[in-house]
Amino acid sequence: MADQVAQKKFTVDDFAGAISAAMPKLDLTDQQISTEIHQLMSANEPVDPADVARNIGVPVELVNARLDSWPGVYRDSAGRLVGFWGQALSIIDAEYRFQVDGKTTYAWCALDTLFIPKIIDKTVRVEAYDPVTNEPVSLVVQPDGVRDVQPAGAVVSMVVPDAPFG
Amino acid sequence: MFNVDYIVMSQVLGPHSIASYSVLMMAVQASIGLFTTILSVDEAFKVGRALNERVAPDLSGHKG
Repeated sequence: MADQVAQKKFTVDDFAGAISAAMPKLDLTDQQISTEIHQLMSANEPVDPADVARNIGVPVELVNARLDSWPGVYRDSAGRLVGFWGQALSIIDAEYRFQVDGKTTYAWCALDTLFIPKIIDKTVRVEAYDPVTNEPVSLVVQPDGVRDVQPAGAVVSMVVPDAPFG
Repeated sequence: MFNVDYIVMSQVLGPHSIASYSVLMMAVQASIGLFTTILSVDEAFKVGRALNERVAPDLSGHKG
């Protein structure tokens, strides 16, 4: 059904290209920082940049400098990360419960629930609500695919950015 | 709590909402000029995987 609705003007790579073009360019250290943050945040605790720095072996000043230069970074009053690139410790807008190893964090939107599991190399149970009917929608996202989509036939809407985030 | 400045407006929809939500998305597309679409969950996952490969090509799937 979704294939009938989807406009085939763009390919998967086109979508990914448009979204990645809106994101900061990441060197290897940036990739290590962002991956480590998602992994630590999945434990449902604020993430201390010092822990990120220690775990990947770089100075905390470097981590903070990168974080201060990126959009989509949210800290608490102690400077710890409570929201980062599609994942947060509390509900933001739509509710996307992101359950990893018995811990629940919140994704910012549906697409976030589909790409973060690969980053953290974990199986994630996602629970959300249809924005029209408010009925529950759930799925299990593994690093290599999706299963147990309920209700069957659920789809994902997307608005594709045409400019950098932030 | 958050003033979200990073957003890809992406929603999961049940099958009964596709028609009505498509109308909303067409209105969004017409009003703000951004491309909108509805994908199957598997297609959306492929977008996520391709996004990972572009944004974090060296570490996608890295287990710390």
